[in-house]
Amino acid sequence: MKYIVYGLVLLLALVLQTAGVPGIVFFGCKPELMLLLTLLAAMIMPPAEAVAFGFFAGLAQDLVVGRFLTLHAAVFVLMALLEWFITQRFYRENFLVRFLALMAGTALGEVLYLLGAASFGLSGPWTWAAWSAILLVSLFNGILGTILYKPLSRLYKRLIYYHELLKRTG
Amino acid sequence: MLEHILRWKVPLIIVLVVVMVGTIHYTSTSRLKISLLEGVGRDLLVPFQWAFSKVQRFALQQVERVQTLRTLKARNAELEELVQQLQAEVLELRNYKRENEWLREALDFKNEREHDLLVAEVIGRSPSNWESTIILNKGFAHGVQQGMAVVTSAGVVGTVVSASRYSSTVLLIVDAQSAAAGLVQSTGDLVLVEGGQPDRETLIARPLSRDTVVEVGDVIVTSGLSTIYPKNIPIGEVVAVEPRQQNLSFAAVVRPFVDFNRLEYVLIVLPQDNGES
Repeated sequence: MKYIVYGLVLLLALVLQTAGVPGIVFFGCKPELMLLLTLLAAMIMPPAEAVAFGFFAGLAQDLVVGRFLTLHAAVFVLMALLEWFITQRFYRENFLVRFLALMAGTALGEVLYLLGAASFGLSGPWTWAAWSAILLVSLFNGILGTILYKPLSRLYKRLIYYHELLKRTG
Repeated sequence: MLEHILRWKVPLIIVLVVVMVGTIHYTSTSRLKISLLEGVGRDLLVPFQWAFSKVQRFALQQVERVQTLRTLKARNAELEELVQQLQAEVLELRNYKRENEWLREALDFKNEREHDLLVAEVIGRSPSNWESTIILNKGFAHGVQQGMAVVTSAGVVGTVVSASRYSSTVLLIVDAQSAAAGLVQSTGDLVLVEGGQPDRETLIARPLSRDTVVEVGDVIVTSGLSTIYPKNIPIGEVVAVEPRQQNLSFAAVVRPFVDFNRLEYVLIVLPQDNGES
């Protein structure tokens, strides 16, 4: 059951990202919802599950709107691992730690994507405008992720409970 | 089972990395067709995107309606109910009017052109901050192919970069990877119009000859020299001219006629022999 919910969450985020989010552009930048979900998954889920979640989130984005197939998937897998590693060493229940980790994760994810795209032929926009866009997206994701962490964490706990219940009762 | 997989963890990761790098490399080159998986993924999302864009437009209309009503309430308290009814009707009529105007313009534009045009609705936009693309609700089932020009009656929008059965992705002319052959309407001088400006709202026109003269207010249209855009489609108006390389050259900042943030419908330019083949 939990995998169906993961799929639905990804579908909703992808539809929001492609059809809805352009309506809430903030200073010319929009939140990277799929990356944000991956980072939150790394904070909430066990590492293997978070990595798999990141892979499928990235792959879905690549399949639907990506220019390089599996580049987002690779970046999201790396980011899920890194975020999990970082939040294990810090007290992630503190909202400031969470906010900074999400901001840093988003910024690094964006830079890694641009580096990957640049190494495969896309001319990298390494201008001041690009850096400020990365900063804005990170800020946007940091705020949104800090708000979403608790509801998603609760949803995950409930999912695990029902998943186990279904498994044990058949 | 899990133990068995974990024993092969390292080789599995290596294979996965190699496959991913290979896929990225393969897809980074210009492809005539998208993969089956990409096509299925995009087509599966089309109804959701279409439904969501409708809901979003409806919600925005409601917000607009609420805002308008609040103003009217303050000004005409005693006529509140009447105003509400009228306002709802006005909003509905305004939508019809806007749609009507757009379709009328599109029809005029279509009659003026030699090419066949296909009307498509914008159902999505690129989620990335690094790509300026839009998603249309028409795909190769409707005759859309990679490399086709996309325009509105206001001017050039971009080119189709990929098409699935029921949707297509359009690279906007303001994207860093976009370029079009243009000419200055008043002088006929050729320029190269490129996207990739940091504001993602303007374009850069570079002269192709040393004698090219461009002034603020000049209109840039497509030259028809490229195989993508038909001739004389408006691109934009020059808003600034910046000297480059010790005043030996210049770059003109062009503001496109198309408002990319408000695109709802576009026209895809079909090849002239589309109906015959």
